Amino acid sequence: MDNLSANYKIIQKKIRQYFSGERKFLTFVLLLLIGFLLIAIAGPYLINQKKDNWEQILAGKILENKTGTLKQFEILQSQLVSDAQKAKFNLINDQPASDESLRKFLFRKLNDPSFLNYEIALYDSIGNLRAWNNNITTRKPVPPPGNSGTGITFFKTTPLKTTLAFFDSVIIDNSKYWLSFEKLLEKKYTFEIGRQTGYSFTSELEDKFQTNIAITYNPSKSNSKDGRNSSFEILNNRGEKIGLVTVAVPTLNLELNSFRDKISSVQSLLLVLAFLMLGFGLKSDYKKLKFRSLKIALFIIYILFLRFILYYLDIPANLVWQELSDPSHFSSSMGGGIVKSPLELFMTAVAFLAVILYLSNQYSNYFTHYARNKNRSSFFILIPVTAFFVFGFIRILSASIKSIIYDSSLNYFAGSDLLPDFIILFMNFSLLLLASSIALLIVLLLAHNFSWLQTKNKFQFTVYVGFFAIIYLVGFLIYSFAQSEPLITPTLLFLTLFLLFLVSFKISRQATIKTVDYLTIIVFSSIISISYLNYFNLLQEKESLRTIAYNINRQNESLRTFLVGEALLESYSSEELVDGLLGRETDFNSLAFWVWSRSAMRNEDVSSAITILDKNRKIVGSFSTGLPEKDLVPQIALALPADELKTFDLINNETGEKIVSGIIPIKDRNKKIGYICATVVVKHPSSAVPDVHKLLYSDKRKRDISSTSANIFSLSNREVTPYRSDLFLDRQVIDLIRTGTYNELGELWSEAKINNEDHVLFALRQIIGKDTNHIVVTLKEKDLEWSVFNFLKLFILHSIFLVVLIFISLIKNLQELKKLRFTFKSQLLTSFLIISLIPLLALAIYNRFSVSEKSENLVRSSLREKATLIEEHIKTQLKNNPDRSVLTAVEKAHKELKISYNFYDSSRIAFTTNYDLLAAGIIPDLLNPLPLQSLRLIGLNEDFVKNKYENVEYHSFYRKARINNRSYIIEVNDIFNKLDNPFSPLEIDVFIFGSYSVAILIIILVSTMLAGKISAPIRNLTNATNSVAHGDLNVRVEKVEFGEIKDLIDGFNYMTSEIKRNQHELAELERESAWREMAKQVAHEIKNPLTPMKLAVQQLIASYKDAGKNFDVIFQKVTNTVLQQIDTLSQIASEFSRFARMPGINLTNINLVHTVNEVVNLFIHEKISIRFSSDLDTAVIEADENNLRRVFINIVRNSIQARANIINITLFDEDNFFIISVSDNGTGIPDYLKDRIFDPDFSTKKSGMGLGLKMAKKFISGIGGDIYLNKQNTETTEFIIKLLKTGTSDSVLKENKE
Amino acid sequence: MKYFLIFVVFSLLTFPVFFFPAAGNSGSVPDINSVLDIQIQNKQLLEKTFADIENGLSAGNVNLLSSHLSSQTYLSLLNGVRGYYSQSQTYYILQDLFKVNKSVTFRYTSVVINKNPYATGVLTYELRNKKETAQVFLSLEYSGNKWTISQLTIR
Repeated sequence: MDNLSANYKIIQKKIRQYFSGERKFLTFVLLLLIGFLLIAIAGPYLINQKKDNWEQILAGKILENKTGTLKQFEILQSQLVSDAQKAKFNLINDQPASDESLRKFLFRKLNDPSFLNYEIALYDSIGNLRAWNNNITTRKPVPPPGNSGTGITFFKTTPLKTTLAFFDSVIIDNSKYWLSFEKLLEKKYTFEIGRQTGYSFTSELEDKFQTNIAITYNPSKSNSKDGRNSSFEILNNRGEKIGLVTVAVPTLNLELNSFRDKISSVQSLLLVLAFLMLGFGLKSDYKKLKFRSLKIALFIIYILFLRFILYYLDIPANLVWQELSDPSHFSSSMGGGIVKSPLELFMTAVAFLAVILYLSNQYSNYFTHYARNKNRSSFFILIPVTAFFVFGFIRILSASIKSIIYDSSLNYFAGSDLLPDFIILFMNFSLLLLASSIALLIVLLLAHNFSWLQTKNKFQFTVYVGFFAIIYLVGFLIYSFAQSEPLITPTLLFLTLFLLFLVSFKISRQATIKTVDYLTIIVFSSIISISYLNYFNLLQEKESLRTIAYNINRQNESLRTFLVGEALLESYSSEELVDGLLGRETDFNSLAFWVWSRSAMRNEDVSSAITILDKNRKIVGSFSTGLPEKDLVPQIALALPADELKTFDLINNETGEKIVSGIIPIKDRNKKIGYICATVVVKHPSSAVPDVHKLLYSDKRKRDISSTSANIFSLSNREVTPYRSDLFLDRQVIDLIRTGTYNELGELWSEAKINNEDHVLFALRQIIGKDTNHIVVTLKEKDLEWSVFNFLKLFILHSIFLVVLIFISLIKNLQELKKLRFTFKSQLLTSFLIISLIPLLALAIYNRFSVSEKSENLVRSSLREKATLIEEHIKTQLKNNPDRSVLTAVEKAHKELKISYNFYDSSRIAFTTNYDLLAAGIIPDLLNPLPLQSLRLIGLNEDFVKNKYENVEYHSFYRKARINNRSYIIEVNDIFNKLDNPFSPLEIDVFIFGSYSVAILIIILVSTMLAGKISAPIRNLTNATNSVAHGDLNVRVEKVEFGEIKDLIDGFNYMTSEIKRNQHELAELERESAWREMAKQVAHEIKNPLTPMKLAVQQLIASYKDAGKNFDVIFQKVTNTVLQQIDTLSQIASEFSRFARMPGINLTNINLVHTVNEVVNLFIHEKISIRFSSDLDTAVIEADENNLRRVFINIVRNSIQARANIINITLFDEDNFFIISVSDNGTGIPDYLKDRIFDPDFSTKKSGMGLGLKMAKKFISGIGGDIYLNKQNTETTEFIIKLLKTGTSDSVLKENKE
Repeated sequence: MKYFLIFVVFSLLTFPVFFFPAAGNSGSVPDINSVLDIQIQNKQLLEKTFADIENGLSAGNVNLLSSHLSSQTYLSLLNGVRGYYSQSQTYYILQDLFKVNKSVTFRYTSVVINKNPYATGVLTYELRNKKETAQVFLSLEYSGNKWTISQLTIR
């Protein structure tokens, strides 16, 4: 038992050993590698297991898919029923307010915010729509299928969407109503760029279960008998079948591939973790390496290898959010694909930063060991070489930032939101990391250059500065003007060099790079990178003009043929078309829109149409963008037989437009049931932008400038036709376009003044036969305030990153945080900022709201003006033509005024200028409930409402118009009408944000300066007090001109000089007193033996005179007495000698490194640079710490008084001693005085007793060390202090003294 | 004699101006159509380009098409990507596309060789173990002594 217990303890101890200290990391590495191998061995076994148990697994998966799908559906269904019941309850039990009509009450209840995600309608007993919420698009009720009554859920399908509907009866105010509640399941179209379909319940299920799923939303479909699919029914809340789900049966191959991928991912992760742990495990061995260059090389190799492994294994791209790995956001082929996505860019930037930070940590060691031993002639080689690398890295930085713009689909400057989308935030962060790394590298190189300029030799200094300036000037000129593609402008290059020079110069005068220097580099990197980003963005915007011109030109015949063919082939066999033609109440216009929205035509800037014909080739429905009805289907398509796809290239005789059209039959079981026709036309330059394109191009996340923001013209011979513009091109501009210098591709870039505004102009010339056509695209040059706004927007974002980084690093070093004191300067600064920023921010917010309100009012006025114009036009027509119908007058008003609007009779649309969209069912034919309530129910004449449609925000103005004794409502909005708004929300934000941000920056700068100036004397006083506390009484605080601070400083200076004088006097008095006392004591002690000596001699004389017989005895006795007393006197003398030694000192073990650092910190605010370097972490000696500190303070103070501005202190060990070398670049000690410096009364200063070095030598010698002047000349002075290591034996000490 | 020598020197110096045409603009801009007519004569290069693209799409291997990507390619793809993308982006977008939609085969249904060469075809691919087809349209433009893809639609 005891043996077992002992063994257990041994094993426990061994385990603890393996997991202690750094060894634990190596243990983890081993465990991870074992895990890797186990997975590799187990993997094939598990795969075989899967193969063997496949049937069981498959059954489980099929069941899982089924239960999962039904569960998702059940959640939706039960939520729908519950909310519908709640709405019903509210309608029955709540009462209208006293001044509220029933209808108003109904609208209020149905538009409750908790029902925002539903389409709700309330019908009376005869089927009239009585109330609805904002999501309803049509007034036609759809009763539930069959006679099953109410209170059941069912699917409601149209060509554009499928909803889960709940229909129930409700009694309100003794009347019966029908309540319809619908939840969207499938939205079959979208107006978002880059997406072909909108929301889909099916797609959600497919993503969740990673398999193909098809849902049939009608109960007639029967289960699939295909072994590749499994089907199950969807039941409603009464258990009745309402649909069918068909799920693709997972295949063994797919499953095994997926499993293999998972194994591979886990193994990759284990490998990466093992490599990371290896680094941590070998940390201490790495630290012990002697050669610095080897350490640097190993570190860089480790980081590069880690980065490579992560790239090769696709980690963490495989594991994280896919948007970060999407190359359409950003990808560059630089570095062989190591920045092929936003995530890879981020990781490369982090790796690069890690290497550069490590190199910057080596900076101080480099400077201390190598900087002082510079070979003069190597300056003339190193500077040009360094300059080459500096300019090289600047080029790398500009190329990287250019790539971030050009190889990215993100628009970093779009919109006014301070916090952009996550992906843009992420890219900005990566940009900051990358720019900071490269900037830090450049700073290290420049700091090295600047360190050469620190020389006392004026001639050398002049030569160095001159050479340095010439090299960098030549480099600047070559970079800016000699390169074929310099990438950045000379101004940007100058800004970069200026900022980096500033910080490098400061760092070159220090031993280490401080935290504030790193922060400065990050801030400067941010300024530089944002400037570059803005510049490249402006370039790209201009180049987009070229893209737009080519885009317009691209619509050649081949593309049009493709578009027609693709639209027809994609759709002719679709179930929706077949079911639609076979059904009875199909909305063919919506169906045609559905076909159009799924086709490639939707994405092209062309006039196009989809037309559905029945089997007799009669048009039953259509959707078109900008094509008149007569051009939807060419006659030839109706005439010729079409048993398969047929396309036709035609020309419109009236307009000369080229038309491509195609037709294909739709068959059901090989029997023709209808036809579908697609038509594409090259847009006539003067044709208006189709309304559907206005909805499509409202997305603000576009890569290039959309054609809606640029001005596009077509110029044929001398005739200018605005394609998309309200501007007018004058003769000068036309001549410029016609006679300008075009390149070999027929392109012209120029600048032009259009409408008194500066524009960038791009023209694309095409010569077709004898005709010369030009596509001209212009863009207004951005004002300075836009550039400022763009800059500040990103700068504030980068500042937020910086603040977060500082916060994280402070949290990591909580101990430092606790020591952080709220200094007087920071208190002052905070007070200034609070006093000035809070009212400024309040003012900015108020101004923004105020200007936004004004802008809204302007929009309202513009829309009101248009509504007034329409109303007056209609009334005037009817007055002049009494027989004319209201609707005819309304149509004519639209044609003549060219304003887009809706005209409501009661709550229903009677006329709209967006007929195609209405016919397709995309825009509602019902009045929005809000203005309905205000205009019809409350009785107002006008209403102004903010709406949102398909994620596009817009404003609508409603005007109640009394025409021919009937009340109508005119609606005008700014989604289909272009308004000239001098204050668009974006421009408001640009102005306010830009100007107030500049004001805030100025406030911060001025406050910092003021706080620094006011607190400087207090800080100086604090430091001086600290120095006095450490024994330095020679410190003096600089005087200020006036005020209480002046009195305080004068008082302090007087106090320290008095203390010093009193200290000297006291020391003198004490010495004198001590001597007097001692002399008195000695005199007293000496007298004691003298008396018996005198008596003895007197006795001897008396005996000799008497010539007595006992003279010999008396002689012996007297001589003994005298000898004894002489011994006593000798003893007294020894005691006296011992007493005369220095008073006792407090010897303790002290760490020299710590003591020297303390002394260096005392002089931190002086105008000198003290560099302390040592390879040693500890250097323990036995000494009195206070005295030792005084010695160092003394030597440093002497250097300062000798006008030195650089003091180098090094500490190293040699045999049994620690050697401290203190050298300065002061005026030095003349040769004839160097032997006297340790004399007690020697001093070259006007004041002082000259005891400093003497005392220092005495003290140092007293503890077994030595101090001597090693080197001195007019440029430098070096003292060496040798101190004995603790534990050195006395014999060694004696040997040393000898 | 002196004036004769001055005359000779002057003539020698001004000789190139009078007898050689000036560099740079020599008058009218070359007709872009005539430029392209010259390129059309190099049918072999064009046919090779189409062949490379066909092989690349068929194998789902973007490296086979990478040398034919333009600096600005218009893409309209199955995965919803639509717009103009740089060469690097086009490369990685297509690579990602074929990673998810594994190409089985691709064949041209028509190839038109003229001033604006284009081709249409059918791409068969596998998505989640299910075979699907997509219509492909691509057009080429001549730039930098080679034919590059200006537009690629896979729907």
